Amino acid sequence: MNYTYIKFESQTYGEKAVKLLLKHNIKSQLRRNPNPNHRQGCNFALFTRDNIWNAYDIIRDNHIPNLGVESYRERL
Amino acid sequence: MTLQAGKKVFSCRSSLASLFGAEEERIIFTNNCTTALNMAIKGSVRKGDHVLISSLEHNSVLRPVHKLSEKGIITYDVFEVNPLSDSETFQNFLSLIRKETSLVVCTMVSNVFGTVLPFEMLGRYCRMKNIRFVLDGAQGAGSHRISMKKMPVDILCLPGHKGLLGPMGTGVLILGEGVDIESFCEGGTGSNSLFEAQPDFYPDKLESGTANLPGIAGLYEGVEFLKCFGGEKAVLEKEHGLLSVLKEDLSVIPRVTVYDEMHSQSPSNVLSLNVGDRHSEQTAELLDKFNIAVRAGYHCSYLAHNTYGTAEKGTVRVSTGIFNTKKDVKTLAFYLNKIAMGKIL
Repeated sequence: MNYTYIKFESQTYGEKAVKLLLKHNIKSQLRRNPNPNHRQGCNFALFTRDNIWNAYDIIRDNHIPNLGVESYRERL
Repeated sequence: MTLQAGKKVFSCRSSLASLFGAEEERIIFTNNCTTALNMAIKGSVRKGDHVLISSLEHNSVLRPVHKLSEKGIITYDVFEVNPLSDSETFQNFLSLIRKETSLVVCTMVSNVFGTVLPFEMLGRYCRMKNIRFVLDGAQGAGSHRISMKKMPVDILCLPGHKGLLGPMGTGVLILGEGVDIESFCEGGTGSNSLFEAQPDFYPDKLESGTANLPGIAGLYEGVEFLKCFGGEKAVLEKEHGLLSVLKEDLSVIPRVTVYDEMHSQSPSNVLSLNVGDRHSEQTAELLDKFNIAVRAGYHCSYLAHNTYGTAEKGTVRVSTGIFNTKKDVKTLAFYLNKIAMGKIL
């Protein structure tokens, strides 16, 4: 299974991004980062069925601090 | 489950941000307004700074400032508020400004007399001179409009349990755009966990330790209720309206002193009074027998009572709320009359 998401250090910024994307008609959801190898302790992943790069552009243009787009391949 | 809890906290942040015209991440949850004020004051000053506070400040402003001064970190002055003249208040304020003045802390509405201070005038001057301006909104938030975007306020400190209708033990610190303060306490934030240093981004920089989730959830409901009620304007209209009825009724009762001259032109929801020579605590105790709750004594405001000569007996403070009715204030006036006539002992 391959996951692509936008990573946030703080839930506050993640939730802010979800709210902002909704204003652009992009539905998204904030979850715990599924990658067990992430190195920052607990952080958050924003998933969307829309184009992740469109979502990322909006978040970046609105200066919401984030840790970029990350992918994780889950081993089966 | 933790994500759901985090979402609830964010909802409250978001609700407060829209009410006060602030950014969500600059809404900091604290234990109460006192903690928020301590964070704002102690996180803003450096050695050698001069701080200016008003003569109507609560002890939660006076004491931290006094403590810093005792430690030799800062010096401070108190500018006298003239409730009847904003321009005289402003002149008093200007006369104490020094080149080292880096911080001004001012209450929005006096918690003793209901005086509304000319905080926008002071804030505008501070912004012009690059002096940080902290507003103590303890008595004004929820009944007076405050906008971090439109008003010259750098830091706003609020209690959750007063006008915001939340539970006791909740408070909020709101930072204006570009305002940075030192952290007050460091610890677990749930972010940057593998680093020794406290995160440098808000709100995490100022929110360490487990959050008061039940309190914050309650505060969210309170703020949402306030918005549904019609916002600050509707609240003040109702609360000030009730106070006007009370003042009218009290005006014909002999031996009741209403400290009305302490009220500025602006409406508020607080009124102080005394009955005859009684100590304020005695009056409050008598009213309590009839299930009337007022606050007596000194209201944690040494400065206000000392400045306006009510330090001997304190005052009985009546504050109206949105759940009060005209019947409530009429009942209060009725029993105050009986106390004044000596019919209730």
